[in-house]
Amino acid sequence: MASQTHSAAVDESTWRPTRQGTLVSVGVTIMLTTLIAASLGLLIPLATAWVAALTFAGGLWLATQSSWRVLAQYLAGLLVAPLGLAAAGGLTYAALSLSSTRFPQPTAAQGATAILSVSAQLIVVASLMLAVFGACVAIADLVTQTSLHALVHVTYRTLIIPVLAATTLATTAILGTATLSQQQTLATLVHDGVAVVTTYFLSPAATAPNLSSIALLLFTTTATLALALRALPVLEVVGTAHEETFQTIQTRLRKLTSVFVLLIIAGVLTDALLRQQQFRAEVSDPLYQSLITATQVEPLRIVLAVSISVTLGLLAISYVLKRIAQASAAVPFERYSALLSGATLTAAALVVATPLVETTQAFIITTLPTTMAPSYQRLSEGIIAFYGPPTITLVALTATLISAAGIIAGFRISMWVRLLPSKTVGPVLASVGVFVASAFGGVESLPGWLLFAGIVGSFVAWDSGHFAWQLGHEIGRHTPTRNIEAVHLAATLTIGGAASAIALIALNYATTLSFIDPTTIPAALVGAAAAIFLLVFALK
Amino acid sequence: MTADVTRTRRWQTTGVAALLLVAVGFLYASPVVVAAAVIPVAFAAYDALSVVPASAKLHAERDIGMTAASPGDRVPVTLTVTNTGEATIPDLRVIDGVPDDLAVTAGTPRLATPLRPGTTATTTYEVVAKRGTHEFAAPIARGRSFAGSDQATTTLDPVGDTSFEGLRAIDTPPTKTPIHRAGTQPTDQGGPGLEFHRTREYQPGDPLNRLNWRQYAKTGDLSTVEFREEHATRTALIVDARKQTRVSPAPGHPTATELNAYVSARLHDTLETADVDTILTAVGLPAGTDLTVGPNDLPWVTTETPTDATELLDAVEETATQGPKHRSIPPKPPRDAVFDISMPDSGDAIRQRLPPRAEVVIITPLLDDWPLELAGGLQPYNYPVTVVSPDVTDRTTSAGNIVALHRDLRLSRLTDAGFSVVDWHPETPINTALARSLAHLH
Repeated sequence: MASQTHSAAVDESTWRPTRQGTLVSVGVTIMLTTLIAASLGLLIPLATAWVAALTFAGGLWLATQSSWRVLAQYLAGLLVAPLGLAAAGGLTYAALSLSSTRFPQPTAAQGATAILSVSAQLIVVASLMLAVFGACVAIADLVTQTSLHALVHVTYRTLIIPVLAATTLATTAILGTATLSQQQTLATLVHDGVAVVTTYFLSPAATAPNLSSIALLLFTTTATLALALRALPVLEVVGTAHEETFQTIQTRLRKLTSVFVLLIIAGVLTDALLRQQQFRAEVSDPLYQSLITATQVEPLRIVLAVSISVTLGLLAISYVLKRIAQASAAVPFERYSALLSGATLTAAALVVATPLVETTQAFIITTLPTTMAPSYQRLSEGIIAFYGPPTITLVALTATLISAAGIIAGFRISMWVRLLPSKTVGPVLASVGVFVASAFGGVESLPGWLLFAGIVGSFVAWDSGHFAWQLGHEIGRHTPTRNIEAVHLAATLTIGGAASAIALIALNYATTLSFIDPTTIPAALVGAAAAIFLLVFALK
Repeated sequence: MTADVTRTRRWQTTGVAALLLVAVGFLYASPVVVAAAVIPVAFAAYDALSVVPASAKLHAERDIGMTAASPGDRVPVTLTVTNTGEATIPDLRVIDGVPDDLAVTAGTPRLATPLRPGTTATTTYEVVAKRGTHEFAAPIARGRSFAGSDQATTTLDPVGDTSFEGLRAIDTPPTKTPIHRAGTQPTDQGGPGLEFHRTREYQPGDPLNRLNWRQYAKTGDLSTVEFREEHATRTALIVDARKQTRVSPAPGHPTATELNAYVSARLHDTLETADVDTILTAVGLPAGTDLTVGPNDLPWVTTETPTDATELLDAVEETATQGPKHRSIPPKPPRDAVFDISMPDSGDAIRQRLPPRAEVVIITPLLDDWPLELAGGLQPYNYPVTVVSPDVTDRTTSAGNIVALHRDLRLSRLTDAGFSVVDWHPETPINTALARSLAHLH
């Protein structure tokens, strides 16, 4: 399209991180996370982390698409579910499986050690997840405040239907089964309440006057009619020739409504007073009976109730039509396509509810430590019997979506408080993930070489990613940068290799120093001293 | 050259990393984890010790392939940077000072490379020429240390070319395209001339040299020979300089108005050189333009008017960049029966001033229906109309494709209605378009 001549003479699409540096960052992260997970037996949690990371990246991409927005928002809404499921499920699975292998322990001391070990492994799992999230979003520089904002809105909209459905089913279960007394349940209580209201308004007992209820009906009728006349295009339909008549009707309706307000007060007082014997005696029987007959009139009450219902329905339709007319045609579809995602997920959850609950239940029972399994089984079976599999599944779906919303909100808050940088989120996540996973993996069964490789790799992942972003920011993607990046990477690897060799030598040498007590404390002390000395030197 | 040296906190997290490893190592009594703290400390030391070499020196040279270029021409530029110092620069980034209003269409004016002493790095790129003098700013160079946290920024003083001249439309030499006309146009009226038209009955006063003596000898009847009458012709060039034409296919490229002026200047020169009486006018010049305007506020350039073509085309070029800011043209397809729509006001003013039997050439990018309405409005008056259209659409984007499609439809409508059309893509030589345009003129 012919464009304006004064716009900036720069193609913004070229100002992105360079491909080589990003590739190195992502490649190193993938390689190290795989090696660490394989070494610690955490390949299944790693696989779930990949599912979560890919769906997160896909969700971010789709939520910010400017074309095919309705479909993109719908798919983004669908992807939120696997994101939450994989993230929360991966961590839960890791916690369960690790606990089942480490517990129970015969002594409290061994139990504390096992808790530390399980904690370390869980931190490794969470860090691996963080690293693969970083690798995924680094590829297209997907995480920005804008994209997170878009995805979190999609998530909130996706949540609406599952939350409503879960709440409805849970409430139904509670109302249907919860017993308040020996004869009365919540369901019967609600039923009785509805009956009292309908009797009060539509067919009150003919034993006493019911002025207040009919006054309330009359007031609501005129008030809703006045609202409807103001909201509906009545004048446009009947023509402006009748404008004066129309305004007269509106004025009279307003006056009537005011009168009915007074009538309500009078009615409430009358009803209350005439129920007192001393006031009842003051009124003659014919007058009393006439008052009962005049306020009884069931057909009038039904007509008024129907009129109120119809008017309220028209007002609702008018409101919706106005909202749709005021917005562009595409906006409501875009805005509410995530609602459809929620509806789809709800329907899918209901379809697979029973087999899903049974399978999950069986899996958890077999995975839990033997000491916990029986009590869990007893408790969970009671809950399933009370609520039923559909409710349990919908509550689980809601929890999954809330987990996803929590993850996205976590990223947003981290960026907001500047814990995460706004520009190099991917490399930073990847680097921190690999670093923490290596550190806590190192205290478990991670081989020394892999620990050192992980620490060096975490610096390489961050350095390459940051360097790629800086080059893209200053030079752009059109300029060849392979040589400069190769030199920079080679220098970083050389330093990392040399540092690993020094660390290995320090480790071996320090361990041989432990001549008094063959524990590892002296080695740690020597290493710490050397580290602190060099750190101070470096910071100077 | 004095370099501005700064230090960034690129590796500042190494301290936290080392402390974390030590803490985790102690918590879990793991010597290997504590020993791993050496790695972040080593990176911290690397950061502290790595600096940009102080002895680094750079020499830059710029070569601009053309000293003068016509609007739309691709001008090659080569920037060469040599490390004349004694130390290697591990990370050198150079950005050439391309003028803001020029678009780079090929290559890149940026350079990123490690540079050893005595070695040279080169980048070549092309910019699109526009009118005016284009001064290149000095290239900016930034060197970084191996660790990337120490950086020195400096402005280079390049030897070689520093500017080039974007020619005004009127500066361009006339084309050598031959023109097959002698300044006359045969008509359907009989009269004096060269080509036989008809014979008619003799009328008193007819010149003797046009009597048909042969017929008189055969039949004894006097008759007069009439030849096809010839009139001196004029060509009117109408330059579309309305606001709608002040757009370009991409930032930094010449606008359609500039290209219109360029084509008009070349056509005007060629016609004038061929002794064709040429009228030049422009539509859409802003009010207050410093030109002598005639009736209907229309600038009108002929051999007799005080304003000459140079002034008018300069005025058109001046307006070329005064387009609507931050707004693109909403694409609209040509309307149905566009030739039957009443003539636009500006078109009516032109028609009123056009001499009889003039040939009309409309130079327009065809981004809206105005030229079609004008051509349709002139049709009933038997003015032969040729439309010369520089293509400023961008077919690399979906939105641009829609605009291009609408323009193609307008071209088809014109062709189907019997108008002569010359579609000029600025990538093709202007002389080709001129030759095709002139071929349509009688």
